[in-house]
Amino acid sequence: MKIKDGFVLRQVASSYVVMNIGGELSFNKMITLNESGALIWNALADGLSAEEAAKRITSEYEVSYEVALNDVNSFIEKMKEAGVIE
Amino acid sequence: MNKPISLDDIFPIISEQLVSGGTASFTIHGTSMLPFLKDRKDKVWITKPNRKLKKYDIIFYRLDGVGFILHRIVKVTRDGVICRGDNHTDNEPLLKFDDVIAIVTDYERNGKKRSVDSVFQILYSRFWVNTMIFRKVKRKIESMFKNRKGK
Repeated sequence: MKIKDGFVLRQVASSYVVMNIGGELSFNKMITLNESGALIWNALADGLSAEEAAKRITSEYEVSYEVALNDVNSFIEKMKEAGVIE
Repeated sequence: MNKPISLDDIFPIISEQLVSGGTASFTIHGTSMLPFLKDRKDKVWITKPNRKLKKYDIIFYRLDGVGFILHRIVKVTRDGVICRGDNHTDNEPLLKFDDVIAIVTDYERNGKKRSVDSVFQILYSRFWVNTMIFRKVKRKIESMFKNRKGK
């Protein structure tokens, strides 16, 4: 499970946008993330597993490990559906 | 997860996308390119130009105090291009080549994506640009009648 090559995260105003460098950037289908989404993204981009990413979240936010892991898995599923994670 | 972002905010990443050889696509806003492109309905794909700009090309650029614009080239000079919206009758001041951000490669109307190199688009653009003078005269006459009615 990893972020596909070419996909990067960029900050735009107070949001984060997932870009496909060299591909197509569609305003109509843009994936934007909030702070916590960006945290998960960066953890995955650093090569962490879902469990390790969840641990990183618990160090940044006051949430239980179970809740964090649930969020990470949900994020991964959505990114897979969007074709960003393989 | 998805929410709208303004063109001004996102311009740096559009720029990065175009420089990397990618494309950007968006729904157009405004009526300056009617009848060809409809406000908030039609969509365009843009990319960094990889050839010389030509008359009839639709280009994307930014003007200070105005914002981002998508208009058609009606003349190419040694120093730049002169543009005009399809719904306008007056030409814009010279735009330097370096100020051109991107060129339109495809567009979507009524849910159907087409290339700007399609036969329809080629015929339409030549016809529309070269008959501008008739629309200008028509608008002038209409305006004169409107003014007379008001008196």
